[in-house]
Amino acid sequence: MAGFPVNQEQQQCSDQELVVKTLDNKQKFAAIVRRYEAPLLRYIVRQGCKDTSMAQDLLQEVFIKAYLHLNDYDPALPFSSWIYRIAHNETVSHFRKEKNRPCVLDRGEDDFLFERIVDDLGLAETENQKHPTSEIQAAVDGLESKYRDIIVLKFFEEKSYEEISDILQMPQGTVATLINRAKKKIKSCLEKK
Amino acid sequence: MIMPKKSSDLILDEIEKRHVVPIPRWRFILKRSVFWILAAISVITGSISMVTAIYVFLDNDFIVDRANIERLFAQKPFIEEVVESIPYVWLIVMSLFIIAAYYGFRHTKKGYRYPTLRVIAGSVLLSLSICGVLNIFDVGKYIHRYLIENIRGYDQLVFTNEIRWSQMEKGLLGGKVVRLSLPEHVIIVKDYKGRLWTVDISKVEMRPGMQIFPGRYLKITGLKTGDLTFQATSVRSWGRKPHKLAQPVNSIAPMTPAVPTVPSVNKQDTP
Repeated sequence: MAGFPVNQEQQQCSDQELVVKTLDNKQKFAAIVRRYEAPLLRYIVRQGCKDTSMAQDLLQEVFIKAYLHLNDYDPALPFSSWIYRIAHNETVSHFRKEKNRPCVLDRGEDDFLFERIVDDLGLAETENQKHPTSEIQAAVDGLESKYRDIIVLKFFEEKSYEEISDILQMPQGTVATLINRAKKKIKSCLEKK
Repeated sequence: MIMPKKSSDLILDEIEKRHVVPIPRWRFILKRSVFWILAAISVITGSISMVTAIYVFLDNDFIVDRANIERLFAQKPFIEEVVESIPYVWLIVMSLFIIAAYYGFRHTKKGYRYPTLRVIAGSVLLSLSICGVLNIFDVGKYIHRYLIENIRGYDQLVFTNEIRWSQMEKGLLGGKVVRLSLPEHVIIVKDYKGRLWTVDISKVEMRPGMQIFPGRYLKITGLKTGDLTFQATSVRSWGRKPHKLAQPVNSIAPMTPAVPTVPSVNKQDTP
């Protein structure tokens, strides 16, 4: 079944249209997979799965689960939020089974994203000293998982409050509260250093 | 030249290999309906608990006619009386159903978008509205009476007026009139435990408008004269409002026909 063709027409289709087409013809699912495999893999890694092959396995399970539950998708919701929710739940349940959730965030290509957190906190403007990325990473890694998850979605995946609310299945007010608390914790951790 | 498989191909291969097919839509609709039904049932049962709790609490004499009964409870402080009369068991049941309603709603498709407090407040408000309607039909009274008369142990869970009016040694007898023989000035009253009391009402001065007929619940003060006999000194109707359905009817054989002991001035009992 290798080499499912994904033509240009399918690439231009909206997610909702692709879902409808996939329900008629499962080969159209290839377009969804190709559209989301890279961002979801990155998200799984950012959630703490550093082992590449494990992350690939999780990604495969995410897509299989998405395909299985395709009829449960509500077109009123952005498809990306729906599939991110599956990825989030799958990764969390994987860590739960392993009884170990590593701390986590990968540096390297994400370096500039850590700086975004500092910018958002206003630390760079208020203090003359510049916080090295490693310090920010340590502060984020030190957060409880509920705060870390939300920081990853907000600053690394650049999701809006509404999207985060749909992914983590919590009210937007709670999302805002958790982000504020997480930011305060990061700030206080950085200020101590 | 053989090209290596892309990960998307591998995922699709795996879907093919495992014979994965999308779960039919009806199963998701059914699942969501279950949560909606759970939420709806919980709100309705919560409102039934609420209306019963309100009835049990308001049925107490310290609210209905405190002035008349005060002397009988002089040994007990008013606040203790109130605290004791709060139907905690119904409040617990009501809270559990409100939590169940929250749980049901939270698991509906978009239930997660609403803050917990708002969902709980909405559930309470909805229960209150339904409770208001149920109260018009005295649902709380019927449920409470059914439970206290038929379910063993219920009287241990709530301190109600039935218990207060089952202190025959203290001269308090409450219950339902099952028969009456007015020429002999005797009525048969069934207390909430099902015991039949023969009550002599010859020394009772009836309030104007007071009617006695089978099926009516009464509060009788007086003196216990025997095992199941009672000499009444005052008789009052149980509820604040007259029974809407029951009308004076003939007494049950072998006793003589029932006639109001005092001619009716109006149908309203003075509480």
